[in-house]
Amino acid sequence: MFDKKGQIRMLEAFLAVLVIFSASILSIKFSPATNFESEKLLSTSGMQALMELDNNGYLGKLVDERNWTAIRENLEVLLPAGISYNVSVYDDAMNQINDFAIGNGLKGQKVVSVEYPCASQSSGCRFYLVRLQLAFAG
Amino acid sequence: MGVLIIALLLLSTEIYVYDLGKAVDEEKQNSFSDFILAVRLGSKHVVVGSLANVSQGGTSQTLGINLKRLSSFVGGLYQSGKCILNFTLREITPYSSGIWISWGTNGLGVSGAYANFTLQLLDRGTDVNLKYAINVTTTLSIQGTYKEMQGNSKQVNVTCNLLNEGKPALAENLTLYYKNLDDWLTPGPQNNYTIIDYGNGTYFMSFVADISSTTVEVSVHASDQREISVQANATCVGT
Repeated sequence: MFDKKGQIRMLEAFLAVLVIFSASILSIKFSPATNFESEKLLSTSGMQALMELDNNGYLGKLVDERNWTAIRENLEVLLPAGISYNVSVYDDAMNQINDFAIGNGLKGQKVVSVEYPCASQSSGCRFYLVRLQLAFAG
Repeated sequence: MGVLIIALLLLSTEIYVYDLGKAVDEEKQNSFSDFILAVRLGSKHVVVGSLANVSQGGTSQTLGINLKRLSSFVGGLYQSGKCILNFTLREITPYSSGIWISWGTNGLGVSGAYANFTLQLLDRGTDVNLKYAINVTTTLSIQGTYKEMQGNSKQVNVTCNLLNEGKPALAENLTLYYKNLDDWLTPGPQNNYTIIDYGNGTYFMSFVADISSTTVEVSVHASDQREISVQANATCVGT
């Protein structure tokens, strides 16, 4: 009788371990570590694109001129294919200044946001915060 | 036996959590370096913009005022920690308040700005200190020669070189003046004025004008593509 109880408990314990173990294997397999990689790729791509655009003060100039179309056209070229994005531009008082959507329609499950402090090279020296949201489309 | 397996499971969970933590740390390091690069680039733009302002007649205090604004702007941006951007303007001769404007009569004109920065980022368990300097200099050098023709008429040739931080740079605007009596005049089509742009920051200008004095003085006013203005004056050499 005692042996049978013990055997059942051992079986229960074994099954419990099996359940927990399989759960951990599944969680590792679909772990956010892979998401970190894709998030890193998105944020790096976004930051590189903004820095490239701002290298000679061009981004600040376009924002000074409120030339949102040119910003979108440049980002289309600078960002890798398959990335959807949306840009919001804020002035130094954190008021959003882009009055029309800059982007290609943000689509994707995981959205990464990159914030870029931008100083315009004009003699008036204005400051902006450019927020670029990115996601892998599809 | 059961206890051993559960212990192993707990251990593997801990390793997994540790790995996740490492990934978060790596992500934080990336955002640190991105933020630092962006601030550094922003500092350069502010120095360039301020120098453009001063070279176009703004006060020499402009650089300090704009950098204070940048420091305040950047300080309010970094939300997950503290960001402190300090700066000092170069006060060593020939700089004053970080600005060096020297538009001489020896054929050389310089518009420059220099500032040192320290950027400190404080976050949970992380303290990043970075020192860097931003030096922006636009230099214009001119050489002129002239050849006497009939009467007071003189054929004048002027060669200009424009540099940004010592490297050839293109001009956004370039205007040549010559002195006749006490007036500075710009040569036009009536003077057979021609300008050749070699595309590497070198410009050759030529004109013919009646200049009554025995010396020919020329002045070139230029601005580079960053809108920084610079002037240089020179006395042409007779050939």
